[in-house]
Amino acid sequence: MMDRESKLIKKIKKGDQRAFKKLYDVYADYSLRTAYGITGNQADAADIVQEVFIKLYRNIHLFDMKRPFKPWFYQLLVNEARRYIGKKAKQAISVESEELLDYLHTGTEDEVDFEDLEIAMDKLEENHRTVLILKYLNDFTEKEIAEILELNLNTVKSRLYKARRKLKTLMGGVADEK
Amino acid sequence: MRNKQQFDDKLREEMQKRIHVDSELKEETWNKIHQNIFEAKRPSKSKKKSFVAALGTIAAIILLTFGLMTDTGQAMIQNLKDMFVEEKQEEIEIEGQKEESNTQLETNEALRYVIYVDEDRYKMVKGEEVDRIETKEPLGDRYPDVYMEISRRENTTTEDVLQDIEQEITADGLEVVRQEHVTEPIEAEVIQGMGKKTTNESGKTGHQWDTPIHRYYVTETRENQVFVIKQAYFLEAEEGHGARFHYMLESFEIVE
Repeated sequence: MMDRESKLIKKIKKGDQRAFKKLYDVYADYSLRTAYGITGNQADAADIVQEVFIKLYRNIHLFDMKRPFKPWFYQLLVNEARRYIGKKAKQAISVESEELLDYLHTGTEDEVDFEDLEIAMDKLEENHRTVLILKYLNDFTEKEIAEILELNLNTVKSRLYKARRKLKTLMGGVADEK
Repeated sequence: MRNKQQFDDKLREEMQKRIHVDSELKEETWNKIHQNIFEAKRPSKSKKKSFVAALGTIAAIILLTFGLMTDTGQAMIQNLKDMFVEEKQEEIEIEGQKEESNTQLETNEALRYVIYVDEDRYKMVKGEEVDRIETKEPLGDRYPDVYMEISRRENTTTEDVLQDIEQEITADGLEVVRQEHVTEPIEAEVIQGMGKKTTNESGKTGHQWDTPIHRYYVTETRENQVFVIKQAYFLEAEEGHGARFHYMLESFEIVE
């Protein structure tokens, strides 16, 4: 863990509010964007991040200083986002069926339209949306994503492959990966 | 999109560009977090006093915000009670058993330090020269002293204080058994005295259950001042009171 971050966490463990605010400032932007990317709603993202930081503060004594903080934090964030989505019983539109993929797959390979990115992301299953957000918004490596989501590395690779394929199809391109 | 790399690059670029949140959202979210954690814990006031309390809270937030955000704010002296939560629950391990400890914030504005005290077992007694954390229930006469004292020594250095303490230990009839630099529970020089070996009524020679232990933590010199934390207990209480003092001392912090 970075030395500065380690010192901040030690201080938070001692109840120091200023250190907690500093940690918030470091993580607020990307955690809000990540939660927004997963839920597609800014108000929901704010609720999730609020809950994560409250839980973090109350459970910081459980954090093992030998572990890296960032994956632990994102694990809390993703779990909270999932819990929140489940609680709201949001019915994600599943695009599992090959029929739908075939239906959507009408364009040529150069027709991927990123103008539809938000709509396409919203149509993905939550677990596909989450891996894409962690990889492309947060720049986590596949190994780090595996740690955050507590998954096998191969599962992450496979999930990323499927997620990219579906996203590309939903944006009007072909689903192949070269 | 000709290949995966191009698609990846474009996706990364578009996500970075499109997935952003309003800047106010960050501040609003922080305010809710702050309210939930720090303000919800404050004891409820009467209606008559609530307006004054609200003003006080706003003032504290402004003070805290400026203290965090501006250079001039750094020079402002913040009230320690506003900077730390009042109560904390901690998991500690005593004699191999994990237990929850309810701790209460204690501050000394003059000396600018804070410490969380296990409020179920100990109390803080403020003195002119020394603050003392002692057991809530007095121990019987047969037991040696049990307490943790915090004091600040001025116009001196860590080295000089260590020499003074060595003399104190000897004057108390104890022997110096340890001196080293530690980083836990706080970063400090430790010097420890222990009662001499004696022969008890059963003829056993050595350290006895009630052999006193005096452990001193001396912080590094800052502006010709050092803090001294003295822990006093006895051999049999090492894993009890000794361990509890250790956990409490972990929360000790000097606020500049």
